[in-house]
Amino acid sequence: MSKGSFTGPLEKVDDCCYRVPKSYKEGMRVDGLVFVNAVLLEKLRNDQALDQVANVAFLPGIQVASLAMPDIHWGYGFPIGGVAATDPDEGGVISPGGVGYDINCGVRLVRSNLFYREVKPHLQQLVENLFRNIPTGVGKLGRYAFHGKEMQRLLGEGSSYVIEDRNLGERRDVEYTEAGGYLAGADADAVSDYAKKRGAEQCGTLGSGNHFLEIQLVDHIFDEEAARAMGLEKDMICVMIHSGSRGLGYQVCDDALARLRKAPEKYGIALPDRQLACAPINSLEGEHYIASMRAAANFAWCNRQLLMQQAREVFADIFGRSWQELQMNLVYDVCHNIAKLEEHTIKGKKKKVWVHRKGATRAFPPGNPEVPPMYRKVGQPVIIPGDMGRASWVLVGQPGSMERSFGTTCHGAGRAMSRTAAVKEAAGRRIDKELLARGVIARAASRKGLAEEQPKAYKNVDDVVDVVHQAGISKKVARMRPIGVIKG
Amino acid sequence: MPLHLLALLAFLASPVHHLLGSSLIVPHSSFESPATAAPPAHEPPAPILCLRFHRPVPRRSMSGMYEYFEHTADLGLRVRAADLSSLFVEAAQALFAAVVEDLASVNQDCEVRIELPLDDVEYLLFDWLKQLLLCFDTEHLLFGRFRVTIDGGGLHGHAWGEPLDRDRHNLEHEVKAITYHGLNVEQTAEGWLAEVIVDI
Repeated sequence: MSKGSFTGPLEKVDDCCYRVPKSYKEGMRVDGLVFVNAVLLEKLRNDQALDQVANVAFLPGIQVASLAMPDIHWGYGFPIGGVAATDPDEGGVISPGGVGYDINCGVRLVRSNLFYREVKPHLQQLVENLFRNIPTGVGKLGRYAFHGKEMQRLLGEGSSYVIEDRNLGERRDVEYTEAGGYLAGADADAVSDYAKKRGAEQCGTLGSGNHFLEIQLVDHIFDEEAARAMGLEKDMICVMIHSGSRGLGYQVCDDALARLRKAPEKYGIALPDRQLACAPINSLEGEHYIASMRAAANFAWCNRQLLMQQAREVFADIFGRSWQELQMNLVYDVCHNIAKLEEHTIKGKKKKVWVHRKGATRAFPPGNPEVPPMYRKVGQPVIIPGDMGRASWVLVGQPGSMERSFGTTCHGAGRAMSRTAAVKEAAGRRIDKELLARGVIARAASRKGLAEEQPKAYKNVDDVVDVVHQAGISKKVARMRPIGVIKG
Repeated sequence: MPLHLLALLAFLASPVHHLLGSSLIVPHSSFESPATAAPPAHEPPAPILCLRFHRPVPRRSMSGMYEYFEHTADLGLRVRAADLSSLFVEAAQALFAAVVEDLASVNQDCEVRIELPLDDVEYLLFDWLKQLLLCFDTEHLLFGRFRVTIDGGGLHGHAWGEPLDRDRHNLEHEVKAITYHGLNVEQTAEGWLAEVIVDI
């Protein structure tokens, strides 16, 4: 395997889009299109991410182009930030590698009626209690358990199951969650016993790696109307949660890849990377994966719902008021590792295609029927987590996303440094103390984890957001600044 | 009830145990030339696993013929060994050294046996690591010492470790999965080399 930099052709389309032409590799069915500007382009050639964009273009039934968002970086199979739409009627495939191990990894943002001045004196205690109450880190089990029939229902019903059956949240929460916190067609029986076992006590746990829970304040409002629709005001305290389907999702992906080992050969699909293993959407293997992936997506929404609920309880305890009184309402929940059947207009024709988003977020524009009514005028909220020292963003989808990127935008800052390089770079430093000097109180289960996730390890999220804003695929609404962080 | 006994009971109730005796053996494939080895003939078969507890045995010294190579989002394991069996042992050491801060803190109170039918050598390495990771994820067992034999009957693996004890074990990475991306096992002038990227 070559771990060298990308030496292939890269053609400028416009100020925020570059093309890897189909001619680069024999077997590419479409071009690769990468949304980056000159600032981000500089480092893009350093690893295999662009090669991975080209590899995704090999997938049968791929439409228009293999796309990548400006937070693109080297992943496995698909690049992180990769987007591909496949048409079942043209032999299109579904690829677990286009979703990733952490199925429906995503982000949710919760607002409150608290402002910075009220929270500041309690911040230390707040972070401490969040860290103590919310299970974080490797293999940490949660306070909830779902076995047997409970797990079957959770996988089949998504968020509304834990809200209605366990009273962990309110009905309103599902309306403010992408897809209503539930994908129809999920089949709990398609999820292996191993996967269920891995997930049984992990619902409501944060996990490790880049997952986090942050206390943030609204730093700057860019779009007053959209911010008002979301109930966001300057200096308001919010909670952002980043996690996914935990061990259950990882196992679902693992099981699917094992089942698909022979599929490319069986269906005559030539692939440049085994991690891109796939099967036709209309095949037993494809249908099985889709049913299990949807179930794992439902698990992830339940996980974020329980994480949110635990955070709400900590706030209520510290401030001596119920979370309802604190108006800790869910602003929105988006998934950024998912494949969904959506209608898009391709070459003037409406088609139903499977949109794979591997580290990319849906960003439907104003007026789209899938955007919930309270946001339909402003567009679908998009939550973009940045690094723990600088910023995160709230955007809304724009019409350009339907024209250029299958209704998709970026999902985060994107890593700029490998984990090993970040640890080396942090040698002799105390990342938590450095963050404190920047006004951020951070608690992490692992010091190495903190080093790997240090702000410098990421691209500047502001640069990433500039590209999607300029490209017209989403629009800036608010910039958020972290003040408290808990990490795995 | 002692913790390790609870773990054993949990293990016996687990689907892993129910797979006992259901192993499938695939036709022998060549390990000498992995590049030309035949792809697996069917879905990966179920491994055989069994677990027993015994008196602690001395720890092997951690010679560490592995290193981590740079991957932007995840972690790459690069392993070198004189022969294929040692390569598999070193790869397992590398995996658990990424999970737990100090591999030497893992006692060898219990043993897990993993039996895998022969397969393409890269898939065999993948499945070996995957089964170990699964034992950690579902049974919360950490391992610090391994033994592997590969012959015409498949892979016969042993892993020694103990149930996770958060007071003594500092965990470092959540390895979500072993990936196929860049998965490579090759024979070199010095012996064997393997590269595996794990999802963090």
